[in-house]
Amino acid sequence: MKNKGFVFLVEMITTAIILFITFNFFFPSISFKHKWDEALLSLLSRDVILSLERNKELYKYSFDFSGLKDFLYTNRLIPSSLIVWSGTENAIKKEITIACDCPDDAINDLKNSLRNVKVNGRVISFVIIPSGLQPIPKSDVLLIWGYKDLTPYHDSLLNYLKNGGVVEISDIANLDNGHREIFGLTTTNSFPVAPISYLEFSRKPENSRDIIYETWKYLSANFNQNYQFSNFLNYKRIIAQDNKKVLLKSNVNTANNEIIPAVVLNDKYGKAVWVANFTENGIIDEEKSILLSLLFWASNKHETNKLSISSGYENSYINVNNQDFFEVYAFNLGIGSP
Amino acid sequence: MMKGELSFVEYIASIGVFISFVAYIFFLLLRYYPLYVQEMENERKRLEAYQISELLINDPGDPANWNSLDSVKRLGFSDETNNKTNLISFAKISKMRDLQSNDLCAPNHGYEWVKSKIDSEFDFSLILLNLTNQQLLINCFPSKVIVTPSNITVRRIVAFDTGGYGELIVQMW
Repeated sequence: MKNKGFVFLVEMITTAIILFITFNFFFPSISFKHKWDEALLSLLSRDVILSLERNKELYKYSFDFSGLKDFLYTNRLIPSSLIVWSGTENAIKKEITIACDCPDDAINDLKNSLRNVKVNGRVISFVIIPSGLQPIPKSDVLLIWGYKDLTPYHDSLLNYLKNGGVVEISDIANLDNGHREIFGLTTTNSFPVAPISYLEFSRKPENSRDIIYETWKYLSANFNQNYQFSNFLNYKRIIAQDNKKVLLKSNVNTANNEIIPAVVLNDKYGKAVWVANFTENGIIDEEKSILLSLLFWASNKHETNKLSISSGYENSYINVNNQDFFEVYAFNLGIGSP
Repeated sequence: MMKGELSFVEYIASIGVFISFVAYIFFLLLRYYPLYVQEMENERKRLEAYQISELLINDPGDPANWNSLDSVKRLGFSDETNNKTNLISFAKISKMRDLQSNDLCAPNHGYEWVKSKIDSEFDFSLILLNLTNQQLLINCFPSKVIVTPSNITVRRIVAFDTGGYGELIVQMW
């Protein structure tokens, strides 16, 4: 009997231990967690953006990360123990990388044309790298100089358009399916009713959301409409699928009253623009403006200095500049711990 | 003893396990209750510190165009003519400095006045620093400043309507 009582006691103690372990499992120790530290980081980043904007310094620092960093740390707007990064969305980059599928002499023409470029008060530089159409190196915009059948490169170009834009300068000999789809072009049987003597804007944009507004804004300030583009008017019976996407057109229509385009913008798969070849006698100032406006429009506009950090919070602010080229861009400021 | 019947020892042991369980739960609650209450209190302080910072920065006060301390019903430094977030009126800050003696808005020199115009239930300190020249513009605190790990601090960056940047620090306990 005594042994029986001892065994029972051991059973009870074992049961008690199992119960306590079970209680701990079902009722875990309570801990209080709050996200105030993260909220304060996010608040600091928002305050800094708004204060910069109120003192009209946001635009200047949007494109000057090292200047911004120095300013924030020197003036103690942000403690030096924190990491800061910034970036822009939808603003022209300060350095645009052009993948150029073009002849060697064209690269020299291009380099000469893209010197000392300023837009909306800031200097823009260009890096030109020779490229084919498959594969296309990492870049902000692909420039195709001269005609080639794009059908074999269709998939490669559509893939590229997800992150970058395509500008083609060519007199299209035969309109292949690649050109039709990527640039939104088609053909006509009709000829001009009279000799083409100059180019003009196809229309005035309806509002700032109009596809032609950005390039129209830049060109209308830099483009002499009375200039005779004699080397720009090699008519190949190419017309746009949608006339609303025509930026520049010839002064006369076809016999079927179709617009004869010189520049067609297409944003169906990304930003792609075709422009009739204007480079046969070199690139004059007006033509340089056309080229720049198209490169600005089509190029990739995502830029960030983000570092790999353990934690951090980013805030965005929408800013607008409409000095030379219409830009509605987002400025992102992130603050985090190392 | 019949089969299935509890012996006295078994009965006592069962009661012991039950009492242990109840005691376990009781002590668990007893242990966490003060922590829970403290955490709720801290949460209220955090909210209030943030609300006060938001009120001072982004509200012009009442009346919105107050230009003397006598007319102030609610304190706020936002510039009512621009009415933009994070932009504060330097003229209002200058008026606030009238409260201070030797750059201090300490007890009997305006802290109680500030507290009544902010209507805070907690004690706090209020500092506004001009980051451009490191000048201390506002420095308000009560007679008894308690520094504990649970003190809540909210830092806000602001722009002055006259140009330059400031830092508002609200600490609450």
